Amino acid sequence: MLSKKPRRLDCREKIDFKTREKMDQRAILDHQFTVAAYVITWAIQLGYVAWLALKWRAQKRAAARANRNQH
Amino acid sequence: MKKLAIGLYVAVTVALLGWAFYQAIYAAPDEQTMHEVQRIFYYHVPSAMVAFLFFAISLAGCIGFLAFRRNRPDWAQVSDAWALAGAEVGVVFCTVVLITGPLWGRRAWGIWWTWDARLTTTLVLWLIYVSYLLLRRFAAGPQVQTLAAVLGIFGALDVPIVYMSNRWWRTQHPAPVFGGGPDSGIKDPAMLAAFGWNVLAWLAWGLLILALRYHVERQHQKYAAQEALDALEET
Repeated sequence: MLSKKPRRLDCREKIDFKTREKMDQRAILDHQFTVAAYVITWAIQLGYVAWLALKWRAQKRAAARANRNQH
Repeated sequence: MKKLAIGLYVAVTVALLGWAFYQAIYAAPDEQTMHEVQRIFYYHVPSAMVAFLFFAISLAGCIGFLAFRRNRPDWAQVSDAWALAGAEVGVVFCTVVLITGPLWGRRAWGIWWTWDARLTTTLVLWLIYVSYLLLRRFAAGPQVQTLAAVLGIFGALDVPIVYMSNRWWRTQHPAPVFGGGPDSGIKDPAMLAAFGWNVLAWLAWGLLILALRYHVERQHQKYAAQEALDALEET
Protein backbone atom coordinates (compact mmCIF):
# COMPACT_ATOMS: atom_id res chain seq x y z
CA MET A 1 0.00 0.00 0.00
CA LEU A 2 1.33 3.39 -0.94
CA SER A 3 1.65 5.84 1.86
CA LYS A 4 1.02 9.48 1.13
CA LYS A 5 4.23 11.46 1.34
CA PRO A 6 3.99 14.67 3.35
CA ARG A 7 4.08 17.64 1.02
CA ARG A 8 7.32 19.57 1.20
CA LEU A 9 7.06 23.29 1.80
CA ASP A 10 7.72 25.50 -1.18
CA CYS A 11 10.86 27.56 -0.59
CA ARG A 12 8.75 30.73 -0.74
CA GLU A 13 6.37 29.54 1.98
CA LYS A 14 7.03 30.46 5.59
CA ILE A 15 5.50 29.53 8.91
CA ASP A 16 4.41 32.23 11.32
CA PHE A 17 6.53 31.67 14.45
CA LYS A 18 3.66 32.67 16.75
CA THR A 19 0.55 31.05 15.21
CA ARG A 20 2.39 28.21 13.33
CA GLU A 21 0.17 28.97 10.34
CA LYS A 22 1.37 29.29 6.76
CA MET A 23 2.03 32.92 5.86
CA ASP A 24 0.79 34.34 2.58
CA GLN A 25 2.99 36.45 0.31
CA ARG A 26 1.74 39.74 1.79
CA ALA A 27 2.39 38.62 5.35
CA ILE A 28 5.91 37.47 4.39
CA LEU A 29 6.70 40.88 2.89
CA ASP A 30 5.22 42.68 5.92
CA HIS A 31 7.38 40.53 8.16
CA GLN A 32 10.53 41.19 6.12
CA PHE A 33 9.97 44.96 6.12
CA THR A 34 9.35 44.98 9.88
CA VAL A 35 12.52 42.95 10.51
CA ALA A 36 14.47 45.29 8.19
CA ALA A 37 13.24 48.38 10.10
CA TYR A 38 14.22 46.90 13.47
CA VAL A 39 17.61 45.64 12.26
CA ILE A 40 18.48 48.97 10.58
CA THR A 41 17.48 50.91 13.72
CA TRP A 42 19.79 48.78 15.86
CA ALA A 43 22.60 48.92 13.28
CA ILE A 44 22.48 52.74 13.24
CA GLN A 45 22.36 53.07 17.03
CA LEU A 46 25.07 50.51 17.78
CA GLY A 47 27.21 51.75 14.87
CA TYR A 48 27.08 55.26 16.28
CA VAL A 49 27.99 54.09 19.80
CA ALA A 50 30.92 52.06 18.39
CA TRP A 51 32.17 55.11 16.44
CA LEU A 52 31.86 57.24 19.59
CA ALA A 53 33.78 54.68 21.66
CA LEU A 54 36.61 54.60 19.07
CA LYS A 55 36.73 58.41 19.03
CA TRP A 56 36.89 58.49 22.83
CA ARG A 57 39.70 55.93 22.91
CA ALA A 58 41.73 57.78 20.24
CA GLN A 59 41.30 61.01 22.18
CA LYS A 60 42.47 59.40 25.43
CA ARG A 61 45.53 57.97 23.69
CA ALA A 62 46.39 61.33 22.11
CA ALA A 63 46.11 63.06 25.49
CA ALA A 64 48.32 60.41 27.15
CA ARG A 65 50.93 60.76 24.36
CA ALA A 66 50.95 64.54 24.75
CA ASN A 67 51.46 64.20 28.52
CA ARG A 68 54.36 61.78 27.99
CA ASN A 69 56.05 64.16 25.50
CA GLN A 70 55.69 67.04 27.96
CA HIS A 71 57.57 65.14 30.67
CA MET B 1 30.14 55.52 43.39
CA LYS B 2 29.84 57.40 40.10
CA LYS B 3 30.90 54.29 38.15
CA LEU B 4 28.31 52.20 40.01
CA ALA B 5 25.55 54.71 39.19
CA ILE B 6 26.56 54.72 35.50
CA GLY B 7 26.67 50.90 35.43
CA LEU B 8 23.24 50.73 37.05
CA TYR B 9 21.82 53.21 34.54
CA VAL B 10 23.28 51.23 31.62
CA ALA B 11 21.81 47.97 33.03
CA VAL B 12 18.36 49.55 33.51
CA THR B 13 18.48 51.00 29.97
CA VAL B 14 19.42 47.65 28.40
CA ALA B 15 16.65 45.91 30.39
CA LEU B 16 14.17 48.59 29.29
CA LEU B 17 15.17 48.16 25.64
CA GLY B 18 14.71 44.39 25.89
CA TRP B 19 11.32 44.77 27.58
CA ALA B 20 10.21 47.40 25.04
CA PHE B 21 11.24 45.07 22.18
CA TYR B 22 9.19 42.25 23.74
CA GLN B 23 6.20 44.58 24.09
CA ALA B 24 6.45 45.77 20.47
CA ILE B 25 6.94 42.35 18.86
CA TYR B 26 5.09 39.88 21.12
CA ALA B 27 2.73 41.66 23.52
CA ALA B 28 1.09 44.24 21.23
CA PRO B 29 -1.61 42.81 18.93
CA ASP B 30 -1.56 43.10 15.14
CA GLU B 31 -3.21 46.25 13.85
CA GLN B 32 -6.44 45.51 11.90
CA THR B 33 -5.61 47.07 8.51
CA MET B 34 -1.81 47.27 8.41
CA HIS B 35 -1.12 44.02 10.29
CA GLU B 36 2.49 43.29 11.21
CA VAL B 37 4.12 46.21 9.39
CA GLN B 38 2.42 48.60 11.85
CA ARG B 39 4.96 47.42 14.46
CA ILE B 40 7.50 49.73 12.79
CA PHE B 41 5.51 52.52 14.50
CA TYR B 42 6.94 51.44 17.90
CA TYR B 43 10.46 52.39 16.76
CA HIS B 44 9.59 55.19 14.30
CA VAL B 45 7.54 57.51 16.55
CA PRO B 46 9.68 57.28 19.74
CA SER B 47 12.79 57.97 17.62
CA ALA B 48 11.12 61.12 16.24
CA MET B 49 10.14 62.24 19.75
CA VAL B 50 13.68 61.74 21.08
CA ALA B 51 15.18 63.51 18.03
CA PHE B 52 12.95 66.56 18.67
CA LEU B 53 13.98 66.62 22.34
CA PHE B 54 17.68 66.52 21.44
CA PHE B 55 17.31 69.25 18.84
CA ALA B 56 15.72 71.34 21.62
CA ILE B 57 18.76 70.63 23.84
CA SER B 58 20.99 71.67 20.93
CA LEU B 59 18.98 74.90 20.57
CA ALA B 60 19.46 75.68 24.28
CA GLY B 61 23.20 75.01 23.87
CA CYS B 62 23.43 77.29 20.80
CA ILE B 63 21.62 80.13 22.60
CA GLY B 64 23.80 79.59 25.68
CA PHE B 65 26.98 79.73 23.61
CA LEU B 66 25.95 83.00 21.93
CA ALA B 67 24.92 84.50 25.27
CA PHE B 68 28.06 83.54 27.23
CA ARG B 69 30.79 83.66 24.58
CA ARG B 70 32.08 87.11 25.55
CA ASN B 71 31.79 87.26 29.34
CA ARG B 72 31.82 83.61 30.52
CA PRO B 73 34.01 81.49 28.20
CA ASP B 74 33.78 78.37 30.41
CA TRP B 75 29.98 78.38 30.32
CA ALA B 76 30.11 79.07 26.60
CA GLN B 77 32.25 75.95 26.06
CA VAL B 78 29.85 73.83 28.15
CA SER B 79 26.89 75.19 26.14
CA ASP B 80 28.72 74.49 22.89
CA ALA B 81 29.39 70.89 23.96
CA TRP B 82 25.67 70.40 24.71
CA ALA B 83 24.77 72.01 21.36
CA LEU B 84 27.05 69.64 19.45
CA ALA B 85 26.01 66.54 21.43
CA GLY B 86 22.29 67.34 21.01
CA ALA B 87 22.66 67.95 17.27
CA GLU B 88 24.70 64.80 16.63
CA VAL B 89 22.57 62.37 18.64
CA GLY B 90 19.45 64.09 17.25
CA VAL B 91 20.71 63.40 13.71
CA VAL B 92 21.20 59.71 14.62
CA PHE B 93 17.58 59.43 15.77
CA CYS B 94 16.32 61.51 12.83
CA THR B 95 18.16 59.12 10.46
CA VAL B 96 16.27 56.22 12.07
CA VAL B 97 13.00 58.12 11.47
CA LEU B 98 13.87 58.78 7.82
CA ILE B 99 14.71 55.11 7.17
CA THR B 100 11.94 53.35 9.12
CA GLY B 101 9.30 55.73 7.71
CA PRO B 102 9.83 54.80 4.03
CA LEU B 103 10.04 51.09 4.98
CA TRP B 104 6.55 51.40 6.50
CA GLY B 105 5.36 53.61 3.60
CA ARG B 106 6.42 51.06 0.97
CA ARG B 107 4.06 48.47 2.50
CA ALA B 108 1.26 50.82 3.58
CA TRP B 109 1.15 53.22 0.61
CA GLY B 110 3.03 51.22 -2.05
CA ILE B 111 5.70 53.96 -2.41
CA TRP B 112 9.00 54.63 -0.67
CA TRP B 113 8.74 58.41 -0.63
CA THR B 114 6.42 61.27 -1.48
CA TRP B 115 7.09 65.00 -1.27
CA ASP B 116 4.38 65.74 1.25
CA ALA B 117 4.78 68.36 3.99
CA ARG B 118 5.70 66.07 6.92
CA LEU B 119 8.27 64.04 5.00
CA THR B 120 9.82 67.04 3.25
CA THR B 121 10.14 69.17 6.40
CA THR B 122 11.71 66.21 8.25
CA LEU B 123 14.23 65.74 5.44
CA VAL B 124 15.03 69.49 5.51
CA LEU B 125 15.51 69.27 9.30
CA TRP B 126 17.94 66.37 8.86
CA LEU B 127 19.84 68.24 6.10
CA ILE B 128 20.18 71.39 8.25
CA TYR B 129 21.61 69.44 11.17
CA VAL B 130 23.91 67.39 8.91
CA SER B 131 25.24 70.69 7.51
CA TYR B 132 25.70 71.89 11.12
CA LEU B 133 27.83 68.81 11.84
CA LEU B 134 29.79 69.19 8.58
CA LEU B 135 30.49 72.83 9.45
CA ARG B 136 31.77 71.76 12.87
CA ARG B 137 33.89 69.03 11.33
CA PHE B 138 35.51 70.78 8.37
CA ALA B 139 35.50 74.54 8.97
CA ALA B 140 38.41 76.15 10.83
CA GLY B 141 38.93 79.47 12.55
CA PRO B 142 37.74 81.35 15.62
CA GLN B 143 34.23 82.00 14.27
CA VAL B 144 33.23 78.35 13.62
CA GLN B 145 31.42 77.88 16.94
CA THR B 146 29.50 81.14 16.48
CA LEU B 147 28.47 80.30 12.91
CA ALA B 148 27.45 76.80 13.98
CA ALA B 149 25.37 78.21 16.86
CA VAL B 150 23.48 80.49 14.46
CA LEU B 151 22.88 77.60 12.06
CA GLY B 152 21.74 75.42 14.99
CA ILE B 153 19.14 78.04 15.99
CA PHE B 154 17.80 78.18 12.42
CA GLY B 155 17.70 74.37 12.31
CA ALA B 156 15.66 74.22 15.50
CA LEU B 157 13.09 76.58 13.96
CA ASP B 158 12.17 73.71 11.62
CA VAL B 159 11.18 71.42 14.53
CA PRO B 160 7.79 73.08 15.27
CA ILE B 161 7.12 73.22 11.50
CA VAL B 162 7.73 69.45 11.25
CA TYR B 163 5.49 68.84 14.28
CA MET B 164 2.64 70.99 12.95
CA SER B 165 2.98 70.04 9.26
CA ASN B 166 0.31 67.31 9.28
CA ARG B 167 -2.01 69.62 11.23
CA TRP B 168 -1.53 72.67 8.99
CA TRP B 169 -1.52 70.93 5.61
CA ARG B 170 -3.28 67.93 4.09
CA THR B 171 -0.58 65.27 3.96
CA GLN B 172 -0.23 61.65 2.97
CA HIS B 173 1.47 61.03 6.31
CA PRO B 174 -0.99 59.60 8.88
CA ALA B 175 -2.81 62.06 11.13
CA PRO B 176 -1.20 62.81 14.51
CA VAL B 177 -1.51 59.90 16.94
CA PHE B 178 -1.69 62.24 19.94
CA GLY B 179 -3.23 65.70 20.11
CA GLY B 180 -4.73 65.45 16.64
CA GLY B 181 -8.42 65.81 17.51
CA PRO B 182 -11.15 63.69 19.12
CA ASP B 183 -10.36 60.56 17.05
CA SER B 184 -6.64 60.57 17.77
CA GLY B 185 -4.92 58.38 20.37
CA ILE B 186 -4.16 54.68 20.73
CA LYS B 187 -7.32 52.85 21.78
CA ASP B 188 -5.89 49.40 22.52
CA PRO B 189 -4.25 49.30 25.99
CA ALA B 190 -1.65 46.71 24.90
CA MET B 191 -0.62 48.90 21.94
CA LEU B 192 -0.50 51.97 24.19
CA ALA B 193 1.69 50.09 26.69
CA ALA B 194 4.05 48.94 23.92
CA PHE B 195 4.30 52.50 22.64
CA GLY B 196 4.90 53.93 26.14
CA TRP B 197 7.62 51.38 26.95
CA ASN B 198 9.39 52.11 23.68
CA VAL B 199 9.28 55.88 24.28
CA LEU B 200 10.77 55.34 27.75
CA ALA B 201 13.43 52.88 26.53
CA TRP B 202 14.60 55.01 23.58
CA LEU B 203 14.63 58.12 25.76
CA ALA B 204 16.83 56.33 28.33
CA TRP B 205 19.14 55.08 25.55
CA GLY B 206 19.25 58.51 23.91
CA LEU B 207 20.16 60.24 27.18
CA LEU B 208 22.92 57.69 27.71
CA ILE B 209 24.58 58.34 24.35
CA LEU B 210 23.95 62.08 24.68
CA ALA B 211 25.87 62.09 27.98
CA LEU B 212 28.67 60.04 26.39
CA ARG B 213 28.90 62.42 23.41
CA TYR B 214 28.94 65.44 25.75
CA HIS B 215 31.74 63.87 27.80
CA VAL B 216 33.82 63.15 24.66
CA GLU B 217 33.35 66.72 23.44
CA ARG B 218 34.34 68.23 26.79
CA GLN B 219 37.50 66.11 26.80
CA HIS B 220 38.24 67.27 23.27
CA GLN B 221 37.80 70.92 24.29
CA LYS B 222 40.14 70.50 27.27
CA TYR B 223 42.74 68.72 25.13
CA ALA B 224 42.53 71.41 22.42
CA ALA B 225 42.88 74.17 25.04
CA GLN B 226 45.93 72.45 26.54
CA GLU B 227 47.50 72.05 23.09
CA ALA B 228 46.96 75.74 22.35
CA LEU B 229 48.53 76.67 25.69
CA ASP B 230 51.56 74.45 25.02
CA ALA B 231 52.00 75.99 21.58
CA LEU B 232 51.93 79.49 23.12
CA GLU B 233 54.50 78.49 25.72
CA GLU B 234 56.82 77.09 23.04
CA THR B 235 56.77 80.40 21.15
